[in-house]
This record gives sequence, C-alpha cells and structure tokens, in this order.
Amino acid sequence: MDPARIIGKMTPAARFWIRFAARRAARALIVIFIVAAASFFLLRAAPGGPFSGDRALPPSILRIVEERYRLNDPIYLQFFHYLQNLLRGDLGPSFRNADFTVQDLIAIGLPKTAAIGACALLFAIGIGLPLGVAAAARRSGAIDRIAGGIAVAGLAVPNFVLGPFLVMFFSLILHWFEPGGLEAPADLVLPAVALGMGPLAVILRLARAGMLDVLSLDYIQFARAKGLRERTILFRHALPGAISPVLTYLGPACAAILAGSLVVESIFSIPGIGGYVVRGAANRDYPLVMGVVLLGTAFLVIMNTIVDALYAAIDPRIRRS
Amino acid sequence: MAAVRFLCILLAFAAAAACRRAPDAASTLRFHNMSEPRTLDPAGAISVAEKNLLLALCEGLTSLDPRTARPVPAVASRYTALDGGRTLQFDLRECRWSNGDPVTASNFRDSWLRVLEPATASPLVNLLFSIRGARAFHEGRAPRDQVGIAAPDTRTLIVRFDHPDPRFLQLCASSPLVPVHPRAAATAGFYTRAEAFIGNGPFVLAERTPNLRIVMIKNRSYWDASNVTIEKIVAWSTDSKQAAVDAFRGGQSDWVDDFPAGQASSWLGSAELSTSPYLATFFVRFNTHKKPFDDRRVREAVHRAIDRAAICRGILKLGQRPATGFVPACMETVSDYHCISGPDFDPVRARELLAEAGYPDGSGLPPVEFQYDTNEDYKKICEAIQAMLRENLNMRIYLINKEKKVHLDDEENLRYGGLSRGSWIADYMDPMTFLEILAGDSPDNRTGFQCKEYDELLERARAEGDPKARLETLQKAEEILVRREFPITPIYEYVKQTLVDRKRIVGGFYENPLGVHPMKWIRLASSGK
Amino acid sequence: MSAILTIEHLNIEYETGASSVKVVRDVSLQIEEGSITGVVGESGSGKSSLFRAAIGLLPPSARVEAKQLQFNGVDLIQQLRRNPRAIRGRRIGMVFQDATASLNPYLRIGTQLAESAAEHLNISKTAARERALDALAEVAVPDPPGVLRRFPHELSGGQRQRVAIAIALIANPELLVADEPTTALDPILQLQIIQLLKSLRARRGLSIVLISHDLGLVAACADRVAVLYAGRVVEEADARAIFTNPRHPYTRALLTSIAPLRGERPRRLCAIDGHPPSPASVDAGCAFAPRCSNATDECSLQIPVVESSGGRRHACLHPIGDRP
Ligand SMILES: Nc1ncnc2c1ncn2[C@@H]1O[C@H](COP(=O)(O)OP(=O)(O)OP(=O)(O)O)[C@@H](O)[C@H]1O
Ligand SMILES: [Mg+2]
Repeated sequence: MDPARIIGKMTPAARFWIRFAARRAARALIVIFIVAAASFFLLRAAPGGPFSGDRALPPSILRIVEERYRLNDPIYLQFFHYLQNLLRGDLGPSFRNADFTVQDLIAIGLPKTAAIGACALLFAIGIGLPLGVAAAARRSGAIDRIAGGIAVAGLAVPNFVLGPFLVMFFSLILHWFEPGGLEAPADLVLPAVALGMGPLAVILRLARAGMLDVLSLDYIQFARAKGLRERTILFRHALPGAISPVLTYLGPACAAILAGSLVVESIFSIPGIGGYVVRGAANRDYPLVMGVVLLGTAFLVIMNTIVDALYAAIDPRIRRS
Repeated sequence: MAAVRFLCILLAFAAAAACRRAPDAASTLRFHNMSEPRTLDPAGAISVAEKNLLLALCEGLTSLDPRTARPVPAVASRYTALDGGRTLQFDLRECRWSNGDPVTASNFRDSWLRVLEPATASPLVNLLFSIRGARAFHEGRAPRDQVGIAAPDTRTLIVRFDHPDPRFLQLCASSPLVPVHPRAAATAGFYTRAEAFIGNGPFVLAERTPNLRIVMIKNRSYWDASNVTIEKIVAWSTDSKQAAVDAFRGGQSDWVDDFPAGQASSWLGSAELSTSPYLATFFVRFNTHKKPFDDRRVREAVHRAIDRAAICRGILKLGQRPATGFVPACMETVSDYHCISGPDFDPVRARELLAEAGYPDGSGLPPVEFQYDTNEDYKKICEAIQAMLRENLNMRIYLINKEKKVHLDDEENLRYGGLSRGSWIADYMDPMTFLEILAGDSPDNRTGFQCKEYDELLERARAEGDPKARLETLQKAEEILVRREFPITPIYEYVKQTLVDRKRIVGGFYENPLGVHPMKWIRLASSGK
Repeated sequence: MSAILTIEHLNIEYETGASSVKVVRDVSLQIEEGSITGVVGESGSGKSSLFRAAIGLLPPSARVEAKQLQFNGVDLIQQLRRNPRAIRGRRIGMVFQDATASLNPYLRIGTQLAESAAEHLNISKTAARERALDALAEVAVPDPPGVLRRFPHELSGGQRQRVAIAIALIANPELLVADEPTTALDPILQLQIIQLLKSLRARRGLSIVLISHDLGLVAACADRVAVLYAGRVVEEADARAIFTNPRHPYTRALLTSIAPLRGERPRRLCAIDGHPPSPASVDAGCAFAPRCSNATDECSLQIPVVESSGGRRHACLHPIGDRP
C-alpha cells in the first residue's frame, strides 16, 4: 500500500498525531546528538585526565590504558566511536568504578533517582495544582493566604537548605522518618519533599494565576450566565485553560527535579544517578558522565514531548495548526 | 560564629537521630572507608580504601601482623630464603577458596603472571620487578616461562630474584600479590556480584552497591575461620569525610579510617581519637625548571625559611612531627634505616643563600605561585608557608588553589608556577617506597629534578645483596635530596587519625606505621570471648 | 400586556479600592412580556451593569440596591441570593457581544449546548443531544449534527453568535438579554442576527432586551427604547416615538449621529461632541448639561425629575418641543 494513500485516508486527528510523532522523533534525535557532541567535547576540554591520581600510573601502564579506551585517537574519531557504540546501546565502561559498566551503574542508580524524582513530581503536582486552583477559586480566602505562604517559602528556600531542615525536624526531633538512605518506601518522603518543594511553589503560582486569568474570561461569564454549577464551571470550563501554563512548566519542572537530585541525593545519602554526575565530573569519568547526561536529555525530551502531546490533547486549537 | 553554633546543634541532633536506627547485630563491624574503591581486582587496586577491603577479601602468602604491620605466615605456612636471599621457597598450608577449590601454588604463579601481563595494566606492576625476568616479560622482551616463579607441586612456590629483595615478604601480604581465583578474569560481575565472587580471605563479598557500601560476610572455608569472630562487615564508602564523622557520632559506624585534620581539635582528649605515626610525608615540590627555583640555593633558602615546628604546633595539633628529611622518622622503628635530616629552620642562613643566588633581601625575585589542590587543611598550611617566606625571604607568593585533577595535570606537565603541595604514603615499610618517586623517570617526580648520581644510587641499592649496605646506599641518596639538591622540601610527617569506638571494638585493632587494620583480628564487644 | 421584568430605583456601585463609583443611578424600567426592548447609551453608561444585576452576574465588588427587582412576580434579589441557577439560563438567558470569547475553546459545541440542557431540564444525555440539535436548527445553523462535533474555532463568527443564542435559549427562558450581540459582526451578519431575534420573538413569544450602541439596529426591531446616559434613564418611549419625536436633547443628538442602515460602515455614538462623563464625576445637576446646547445654569445645579406622560418619560428641564 502506498503510504501517501494511507495518510490521505486518515482522519485529520490521526494525521496530526502521526506528523506530531514523526517531527518529535526527528527533533529528539537532533537534540540528543547536539547534547552528546557538546558534552563529549566539553568534558574532554577540561584539564586533567581520568587516570591521574595521587599516585601516577607508570607511563607504560598509562599508555596501555589509554589505548584500550582509545584516548589517544584524534578526538573526532573518539566521538565517532562513542556514537557507534551508543547506537549499539553500549555506553562503555566506567573509568572510576572500573568493575562496572555505565549500564550497570545506571541500572543500579536509576531506580532510586527515578523513585524520588517521580515522587517529587507527584508531590509538586498533587499538592500544587489543587491548592493553586482552590486559592484562585476562593481568592483572598484562608486557603489563598496559606497557598501564598507556601509559594513564597517554596521559592525562597533552596533544596540544599530545605533538605537538612527536613532531616532535623522530621527525623531528628519528631523521629517520623529516617535521616537518610533508601531502604523502605517511607524513606522517599523527605527527599521527595525537598526535591518537589520548588516545583510545587511554581506550579501553585502558575495554577493560581492561570485560574484567575481564566476566571475573568468571557466564556466563564457566559458559563455562569448559562446557570451552570460553580463546580462544573471550575473544573470543566476553567481548568483546561488554567492548567496550560502548568503543563508548559512540566518540562522545566522535570529539568529542575533532575538537577535538584544532584544535591538532594547527597543530602539524604541516596546512591542515585545524580551523584554519578557530580563524582563522574570530578573524576573525569567521561563515559559515566556522558551516559547519565544523555539519559537525562532523553528523559527531558520525552517529558517535553509528552507535555506537548497533553497540550495538544487538551487544546483543540493546537491540533489544527 | 552563629553558623558554627547552628551546625553544632544540627550535628547533635544528627547523632541523636542516628541512634534510632535498628542496631546491627553485635557481630557486625561497620566502618567508613576512605573512599569508593575503584576496583576490587587486586591487580588494579591502588588506594588505601581498596587495600583495606582486599585485606579482608583475599589473603596472600604472608599477612600483616596487626600490631607491627610486619609480615607473618599466612597461606604460606613457612618460607625459606635460599641462595643468599636470591631464592624464596614458600610452603603453602592446606587451604581453600570460598567455593571449596584448593588454593594451589599455581594459583599464585598465574595470578602474579597476570599482574605482569601488559594487558592487565596493573598500576603497581613494578612491585614485582625484582622477580627474575618479570620486567622483561612485562615489557615484552622475554617469554612467560622465563619469569622466575615456579610451582613444582601444588603446595610449593619458588620465586627467584636477580638480587635479594628485602621488601618481598611484606609485598606478598597485599595487592597486587594476593591470589585471584582462575575464574576472576573470565567471569562477568566477578567483583560486583556476591554470587560470582570467589576469594580466599577471611571474608567474602555479600553486597556491592557502588558509592554506598560493600558488605562482606565471614568466609566459612577460610583456613583460620575459627579465629575470626566478626560475622559481617559493612564498609561505607562515603565521599564526604564530614558525613563519615557525623555517622560515627551517631553510632552508625565503629571506625572511621582517616578524617579531616581540621576537625581534630574537637576530638582531642577523647578516647575515640586514635593518632599514630604514619609512614607518610607532607612536602612541597619545586618546579626546578622555573626561575627562581632552577637555582638550588634558592630552594635551600626556602627549605631553611620554613618554621615547621610552628606549623605542627599551630595548625596540625595532632602530634605531627616536623620533617626535614623525606623518609619519615618512624621508618626507623620498622627497619634498620637511619633517617637523614636536612638543615633546620635558619632564616639568617636562608637570607645569605638567597643573596648568594643573586637576590639580596629578596630583591629581584619574581613573584611565585604556590599551587595546591582544594582542601581546607592544605589551605591553612600553604598560607602559613606563604607568610613565613614573605617574612623571612621577602618572597612574594600567590596561593593558587585548583581542583584536584587540574592540580595533578599541572604537576605532571610541570605547569605550576614554582611551588606545589604534595604528599606521599608508603606502600611498604622500606625507604625505597619514598626515595623511588624522585627518580628521574618516575611519573611521581613532577619537579623536573633529574640527577644521575641519585638514580645510580637507587639502582645500586636495588642490586645490593647486603641489607646493611643497601640501606646505606639509600641514605646517600636521601642526603642528595634533603642536604644538597632540594627538589622538594619536606614539611611534616603525618599521623594517621582514626576514630574508633572503643566500646564496640574491644580488641585486635592496633596502630601501626602503615595504618592498616586487618579486620580478621578485630574483636567486637560481646562477639566471641 | 404585563411586565415580565420590573426594575424600580436600582442603584449599582462598584467599589474600587478605597472609593466607589456609582454607575447605575436610580433606574426604573419595565420590560413588557413578548416585546423587544432596546437599551441604548454610550459606552460606560451602565447598560451591561444594569442587566447583569438582573441575573446576578456582577462581580463581587459591585453593590446593588433596589426598591424592587421583580421577574414574573418573583423577587429577583432574594431568588438570586438563594438559588441563582433557577434564574440564570433557566428563566433569563443572556448572550454577550463577542461570541468567540463567550464559547469555551476547549469544549465541543455539542458539550456546551448539552450541558445547559442537562443542567436545567433534568434530562438524559441522549435527550440533551436531541435538544441541542433542535436548538441549533432553531437558530438556523446549517448541518447541526456536524456543528455539534466541532470546536468553536472551527465555526464562522456569525455561526458562533447563533450558537451562543442557541445555548442561551436551550432551557426555554422567558427573557433573553442580548448584550450587543452584533457588535463584533459585519453589517450583513448584524441584520441576520436581528432577523433571528425577531423571528424568535414571533415564534416563541420570547421577551428580548437588546442592548446596543447602535440606534439603527434598535430602530430595526425594537418595540420600546430606553436611553441611558451616565447611569440614568434619560428617556424611555415607544420606538416610533423615540425616532420621530425625541424629547431629550441627548436622544436627538444620538439620532443625528445615526448610521444609515444599509451603506458604509456604521458610525459610533461618540460622534456627539464632547466626551461621555466619567461616572465618578457626575454629582449634581444633569449629567448631559456640559454637552447640551439647550442647557441653562439651572441644568448643572439640579437633577431633572422624570416626567412621564402618554406612555413615555424623560428627564430633562428643557425637553425638546416644550415652549420655553
Ligand atoms: N468590575 C468593575 N469595577 C469597577 N468599575 C466597573 C466594573 N465594571 C464596569 N465598571 C464601570 O462601570 C461603568 C459601566 O460599565 P458597563 O459595562 O455597565 O457599561 P456599558 O454601558 O455596558 O458600556 P459598553 O457599551 O462599553 O459595554 C463603566 O464606567 C465601567 O468603567
Ligand atoms: Mg456593555
């Protein structure tokens, strides 16, 4: 069957989604390539090599090691090899954790980072969105005032201050949670709160402002004139318009959570992939840093695509163009 | 000040909280290792953290006496020197790998040959070079069967040397000379997964979580298992020494191996702090390719202008000893070496030397950069030296702090501006471990210092059959360093500062000049008798 | 004929920060059942505020006071406080100037129609859909089933206003308030909407309030006309009487600025010299006095009382046609 004919026969919506997917896939590949190239060359531009230490390797040994990892090849060739391996799904060995491959390390660390990241995001959305909507619906009411306080605090207190504070208060004074580690599900609570508080504040503000904007629009007035219940007006008519800014922020929120995990993991002694970046950079562990950076990039690209898809699913005007 | 108080309160709470954690079984030893190990493969192990773990997971022909760090029989029940020390014969006792296989002499031979194999890229390969034919094999100049390691039967190992090597029995105790199981190189995940790991030490690998911890449990097949009382070891690999100290305060750790000297004052006088002379020296490198330090008189002037006693008293405070020689004085307690001391603090003579070099009262001296790797303790020491050199020599010094890897890179390529901080920890108890690094071809030299006479003295010592004459030759070499050429100027001899919970660790834990604590011997409260 | 909506002495104030502005002053008005009442006045004269008050759609900052506000014998003020949804959409429908902005861009036309029907008529989903199809047919939208599935942005401007009217009428209200329903449309469409309103009145006996700037449009369909100036009704009469024989100078000024119904673009009311007063500045005297050619000193001192005679009323000290 001629693909053009198949596409011709499809409904406009289906055609939109196919084009959407194709364009996004192409864009994702380009983004990943650019990030790979940028981080590859930047990492190697930093002075100092992966195998230097308080005790230098004998020159003959250093030569063998460097040859094994092709570190003496021209840099563009190294990059080419890296891409080749990447296409085969091979992220290479870790230089610093020499008994592990980068895949091994990611397989060990990712579930931990993903768990606290997902909890942080759920926490930020699950509290921020309803609170923002409620604050807008009862403007200047008690909820609005509480929400305002939370938003200011969430934006003003960085996670590296909030984290230790949470530990002090909830595990050292109240003894509700363990001060660190990731052994039981309850251990997720404090890191998720520390990580999600900033995004929560932003989501709360965006949801509140979006809701207030939308509530002043003519179509809400018209919905009132129609005699609809307040609940219907709030949730069916106002919410879709109000959450678009929140949706737009979800991409950056994921980025913020990913970046925050570098700090929060170390506060709570969670051996996730956030720590790999910090240590990997200090140790010039090129493959490890590359692997985690590319993983993060792929994650952000996917999240942004999902967000845009949600956006298009909610707002019919986007699907037309 | 307020911040400090706040921190103290925080720490106190941290301690209280940590106590809540369900206590591990009484027979579990928990300690904070210095850092995450790079590898558990003995052929690749190089750092103190790795050596700590390998002492538990593997056992060589000898092992280190926990009190003195001297070699004692281990897998070898007996060793005999033949042929004036040019041959060592090891008689192996009957012992088994953790999977039940017998440990044989050929296991040792094959493990050592593997270390020598160029493809293994073992960083400490030159420790084996005294074995006959070893270096030639490593460099591809001789076949494998010409290396002087023979296993005539399963329980006898014969090692031949070109010259007697007094260090060798010590070296046998630790990596890279401990044996690895034949399957090690061929099994994926051998060093990362408990199911795959096979060892012959008192403990075996039970869990390995990178950047978090390594758990080891008692090896039931170990020949001396009846003398091992610890059932389980949890080795935390904390990057942050501060976190390690916090955990210790909180009772989560029985022992912190090395912690920031800057913290020491808060522990002074407490029973938990253990300090002991350590075979390690803190020193300053000169870039001898750069003005004004291309002139030995200027280097000597700097050496004489530093008041080391003031640094030890005012900054370090843990009983570190001022060093004017490169080999630490405590080497004398573990060998027959007589340490060489360099000239003492003498600012008058220092200024004379400076004038002789053409810089009377420091006039005409170019500004000098003093580079160090980021660290609070180093910063204080370097600042003190900066002030002393300004005061005594009128030398203008700029402190430059660099990230560790950048610092190392600058040192290796002699890119630092004149002075650079360095330190060296002994691999074994012999002056060679220090003196070797300033050989002209040593990658750890990093000063540009190249002295034919010095290199020849080291060569002569290696070939010397008579132990006494060998040490005298090494003394002559050290004299060149700290009385004549001054490619470096020593500052102080380290002490090893360790936190030990004496209520938990009640025996078998001793201080020794190598700072090693074989866990086989450690006894915990209410574990065993 | 009886009055379907009776407004007596209605005042509306907006509180803005510390001060407050009175935008509707002492308005009394009766809307006759089955009539089309045109309400005209310059921008800001309070037309929208007046009728939003009738369905309780004013913002929280508005304060409403009235001697009486009755709808078909029901006290609106009480009813709106107790259960506004029994009035809004159910008994009084309202459409706004800009149908594009009135329709929710995120929801299908079908949903927006059916939810009103379901809300007020208490009927099943399928019945609501049937009702929606009928409503679309009634406002003469082509292809009602197709339109049900579409989103607002997929319709033309005229269709959108028809849909808005269909939504407002879906629960069979007795009164439709059309607040400038044609301002956003071009003249041809304006006429079509006016035709539609007229036919709805004819078919259903619907009472309609048509708020507009545009006297021409009002002339084309209204039975009675009320003229608002600065929050007051300055003249009210049968449409014919207003157009042929205005008594208030402001009404006459409006008429001279009227646009030809068919022709180029309609001109706006501000064609009168001077600017409409800001509501805050009107305190004493006739608000129109500063712009009035007939004004005397008296006019700026004394608020004119409403004179009613012969089914019409006006508020002017020197009405047109009186001998001085
Ligand atoms: N929420 C509000 N707060 C304060 N003042 C308001 C508010 N809404 C309207 N006003 C003021 O009330 C006056 C009357 O407004 P209204 O919308 O009733 O006039 P209108 O006759 O409908 O004007 P237009 O023809 O422009 O629609 C205006 O001066 C306006 O500025
Ligand atoms: Mg209006």
